[in-house]
Amino acid sequence: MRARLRAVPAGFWVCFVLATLNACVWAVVTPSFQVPDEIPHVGYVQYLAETGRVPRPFDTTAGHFNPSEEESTAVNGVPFSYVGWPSWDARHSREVQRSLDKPLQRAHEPAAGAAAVYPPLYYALEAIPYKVVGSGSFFDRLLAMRLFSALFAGLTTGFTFLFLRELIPSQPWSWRVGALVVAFQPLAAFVSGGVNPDSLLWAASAAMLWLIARAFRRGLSTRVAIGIGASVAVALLTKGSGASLAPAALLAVAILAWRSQRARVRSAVIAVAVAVLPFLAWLALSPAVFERGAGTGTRGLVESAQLTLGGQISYLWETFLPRLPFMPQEFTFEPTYPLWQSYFQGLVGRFGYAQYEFPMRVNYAALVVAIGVLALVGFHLYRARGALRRRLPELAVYVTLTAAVVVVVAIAGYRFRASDHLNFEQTRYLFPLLALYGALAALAARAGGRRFGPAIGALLVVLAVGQNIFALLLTLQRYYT
Amino acid sequence: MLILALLLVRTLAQSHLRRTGTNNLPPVAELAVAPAATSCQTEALVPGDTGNVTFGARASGSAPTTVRLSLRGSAGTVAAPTAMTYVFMRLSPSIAADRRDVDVCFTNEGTQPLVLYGAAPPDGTPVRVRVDWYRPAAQRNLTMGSTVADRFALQKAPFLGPWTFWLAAALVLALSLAALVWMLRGVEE
Repeated sequence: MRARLRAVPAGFWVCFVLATLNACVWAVVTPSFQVPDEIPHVGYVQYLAETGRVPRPFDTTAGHFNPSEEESTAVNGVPFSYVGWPSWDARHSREVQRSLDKPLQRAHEPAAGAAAVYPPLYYALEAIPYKVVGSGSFFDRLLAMRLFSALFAGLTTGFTFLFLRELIPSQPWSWRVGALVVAFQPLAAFVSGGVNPDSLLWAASAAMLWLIARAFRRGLSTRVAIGIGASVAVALLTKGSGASLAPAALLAVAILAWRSQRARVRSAVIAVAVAVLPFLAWLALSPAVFERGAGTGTRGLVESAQLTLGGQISYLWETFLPRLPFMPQEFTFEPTYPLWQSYFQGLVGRFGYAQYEFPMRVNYAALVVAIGVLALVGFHLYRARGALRRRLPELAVYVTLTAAVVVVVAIAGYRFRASDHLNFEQTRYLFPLLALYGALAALAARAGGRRFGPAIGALLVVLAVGQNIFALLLTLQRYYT
Repeated sequence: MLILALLLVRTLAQSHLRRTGTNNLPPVAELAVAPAATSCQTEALVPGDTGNVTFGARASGSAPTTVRLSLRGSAGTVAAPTAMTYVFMRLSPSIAADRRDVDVCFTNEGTQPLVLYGAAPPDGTPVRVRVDWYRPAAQRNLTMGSTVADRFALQKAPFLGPWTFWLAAALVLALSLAALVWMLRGVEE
């Protein structure tokens, strides 16, 4: 085991430590319950940790909270609403702490709220820090869960480093550029520093991308096949949208098996089995042992007369592109153009329950940077088109992952908008693509060649570090001044 | 890097009127106050170092009206505009130290009915007005450090204290520098 750990490149550990500590800072800076949906996620962990049982879904309407007596005392004691401002009363804070010292009911099944339909893997892992600090106050346990979740930010960044190491083996400095841009992505650090299963999903996706890139370079060994299958299994057991990883993994192992001899076919079968069997086991256990449905999505597959295939296609189109004249207008209330208003501005920095963000001039400046980065990536890919042509199957896998993530979010968003008349799109839903985000930075830096590449890379890292620092200042301003 | 440092200095040097506290009520319900009438509500806390106050108000008629806010020894008066807005009012004298369970009273000193905005408590008692308290004068971000540190640990794990803020700030700076050094060392290698 020690020898295996020693074989892990030092860059992985550096990235892991930097990203984990950065997410830990966010975990401490962000006030309790101000990470999206943290109340039901904590409720899920609490019920699971206290009873050993997975909660059944009761009221899964978004925004409906029904916490345990203990969590409720903490939630009501935190002087924030979604849009409100705090009172910063030290005496009130002490009173809340005293109330939490009393024996309060902890196990409350409906506390999981809308999260109750999720599979239990993330929550089972979070039950470990919850139990370790079980004798502490509720806020001790919340902090322990947040710090544990920060580890997934470290894993995501570490796997991104390994992914880039396989993707672009020459010029190792560019791996660092890509991984550091991910490590200091403030929205990713903010969510990872809270109790939210997205962070585990992102780590699983980055691990899968690393292993796929490795398999394309070194062949699909049994160990790598098991790794690809395991990362998909983790995603499937974390969140319904984890299914978006499956098409890319399936395509990758199919290409690798087809390319190669029979031994690789066996590896491909192993990968699929490792991915699918745990999930099938969960689907069977969920109703049989825990008396709950087998659904894994927040809303399930809600059908309604309002939902049509044409509408779904228009929705997907209008998320990213201007509406064509024959299309119905799907985005009739904010955001009316999600690519810019939700995804891009969210990537620049939108925090809390999406209620505070950078000024618009920062978004425009970031747009200029993003266009510059994409132009550099395009230039580099054009220059390396020969090598790219040889790696088209691998590229197809990354495009498939991107498309699957986007389509899964659009399917969920279309249904959510129709049923709840609320905005669904949030940048974090695209973060299973974080490793590819890092790859864009690395490729943009490489476009500068040996002469300008390091300078471009350093600039991108400085921008990422600056974005993180200013996002933290924005958060301090929002909650503490 | 230099540009980043300059931006940081500029941001920290920015000056704003800072909030000292709020009763955090959503301004979703109306409370009508007739001319010459007074409506009072008890506030659990009026924070120390408060010199300004805002609340939602409008005159229900076409002409502006005048509202007077008073709380044990401090008062402010302003002509409320006719559109719904947050009235900004200077308190005289300022409130030096925390005051608890204070009656905050709104007196309609005009001839038009006055509408105040706040939230209706679930127990059916009258609408409570949303009130936000501010410091007497604008303050630079840079000078807010100790205030932020004091507020930082509230409603968090009991072992955290103001030191947590300074540790987090030092950690972010250290992580940022470490990342840059590591990246540049990669170029040299």
